[in-house]
Amino acid sequence: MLRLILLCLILVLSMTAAAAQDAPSADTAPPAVDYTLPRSAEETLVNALPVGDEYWLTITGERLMRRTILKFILTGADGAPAPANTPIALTLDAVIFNPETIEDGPDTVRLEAVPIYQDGAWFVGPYAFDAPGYLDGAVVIGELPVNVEPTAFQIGVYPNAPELPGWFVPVNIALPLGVLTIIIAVLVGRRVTLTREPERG
Amino acid sequence: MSDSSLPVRRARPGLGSLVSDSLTLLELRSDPHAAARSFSTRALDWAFVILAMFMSFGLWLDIWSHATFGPDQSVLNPFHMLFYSAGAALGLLLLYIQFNALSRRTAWMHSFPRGYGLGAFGLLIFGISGVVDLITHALFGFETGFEATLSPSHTGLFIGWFIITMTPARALLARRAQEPSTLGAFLPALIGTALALSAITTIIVFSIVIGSQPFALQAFRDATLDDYNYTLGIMSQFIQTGAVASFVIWLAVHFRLPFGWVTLLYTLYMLFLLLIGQDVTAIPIMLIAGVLTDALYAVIRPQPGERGALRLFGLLMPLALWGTYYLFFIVTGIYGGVWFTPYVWIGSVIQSGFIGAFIAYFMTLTSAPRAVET
Repeated sequence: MLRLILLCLILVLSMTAAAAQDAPSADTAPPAVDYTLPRSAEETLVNALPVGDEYWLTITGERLMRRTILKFILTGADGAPAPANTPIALTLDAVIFNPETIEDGPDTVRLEAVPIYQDGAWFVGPYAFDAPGYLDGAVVIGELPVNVEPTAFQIGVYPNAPELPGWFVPVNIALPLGVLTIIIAVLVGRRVTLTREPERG
Repeated sequence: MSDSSLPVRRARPGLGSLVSDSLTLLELRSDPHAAARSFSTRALDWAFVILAMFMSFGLWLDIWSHATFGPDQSVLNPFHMLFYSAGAALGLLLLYIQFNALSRRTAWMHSFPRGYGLGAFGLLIFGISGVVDLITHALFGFETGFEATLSPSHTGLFIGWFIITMTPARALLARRAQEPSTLGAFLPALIGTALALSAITTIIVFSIVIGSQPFALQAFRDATLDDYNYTLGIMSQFIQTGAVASFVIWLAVHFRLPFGWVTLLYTLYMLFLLLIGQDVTAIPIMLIAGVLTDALYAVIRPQPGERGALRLFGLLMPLALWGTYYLFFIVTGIYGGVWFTPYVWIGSVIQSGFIGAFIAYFMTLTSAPRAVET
């Protein structure tokens, strides 16, 4: 019994310490423009969108709690990656539902969106948003024929996560394990036993 | 934690025996010596369901954080801590039970009480799926939106979650012949079942109406896509009917239940789902539908083994649920009221009834369980 309680306490302490080292991931996030996206945080936002007759566009990116980066992966009709000199023109409008001004409608802001080529893909961002909303985008590859609209897409965006109070992680870890400790103490104290006959009443 | 009359642990070396005993331990195969397995107590069921609630709240907190703020790079994301800790606590509780059984020379394969072996299996599935989830994140990136509800590793997590939360109901089923018909006696099983129902509907959250996708309401209508929204609305209603009716009818087939059980089940279900759906209008709807269904149950009295009454209850309970849903919005005009035509919404209510009747029919096809005397 004592060993179990000790084990619970060690578990609480070790998880709290580990979380304290690693939890505020935003604080350790890379500075301003670093387009190396951690694979585990990369999301597929638009999959295999035809752009004209010659290209397919897949938009991935990360919408982490502190920053949004979009990655444009362009392939030709033959599946081969588009070359670095492929001309891409992009417009991005952020439509944000700011709770303080939402009665007047969402805030719409034209974002600076000059794609930067790196490692076989084009990147824009990082952007940060105070409230949720979406990005209205339009992309043109090469020369756009007359009377043809740019290829449009829409991507939801997240607000910045609020800073969590210092007690949040320890309490979340300690609560179930503390309750377990009480439960086991009660079970032991009351000498609760399980038998082959079900209890009555 | 078992009496001394239980069989003595046998020495059965070999990998085959280990696998065989493990399957028995986890209640994954029939056990000719099941009588050697102990019963849980109400106190143990309470302990388990409280920890299962912590775990479920932790999972909803995690889902809410990802839906609100997006993914995070760290597996030690602060929003993960509650369900990690609760999962560890559930595992430690099971280990404690097992340790006590083994210390009283109970055979290892019978060291979990009835219903808890499968609960341990659920925890195992949950843990393995969690590891697979981390690997798939590293390989294929983070799931978002619909991907998150259909990802195979998430499906494993949800199945594990479902099996874990049904543990108190399975334990109660094992000792139901001795259980009195008071609401208090059923509470751990009802809370666990409500958690399981909420877990199942969380994975289909884009395909359920009450608490998530109110396609029939004016405020959520896109008039250029009426046929599309009719299809989505009715299909989602049928899917949610299947989920809710399965749980309600399963309970009615196996237990003689006290008045108020449906109201409690529905209200808890919607309160839990509120953590991700955030639709407060669902609470009064489920409360009213619960009271009506309890009244139906009291009038029909569909006792275990009475097939006709159970099937009639299966037919009528979705009518009470969806009739309440549509009439609530028609009468109150909340969200602009219902835009579905009467042909559509009344027809969908009736067809939902047939879904409930089919479920009740198939659940009562085989030899019916023994009726419980109180």
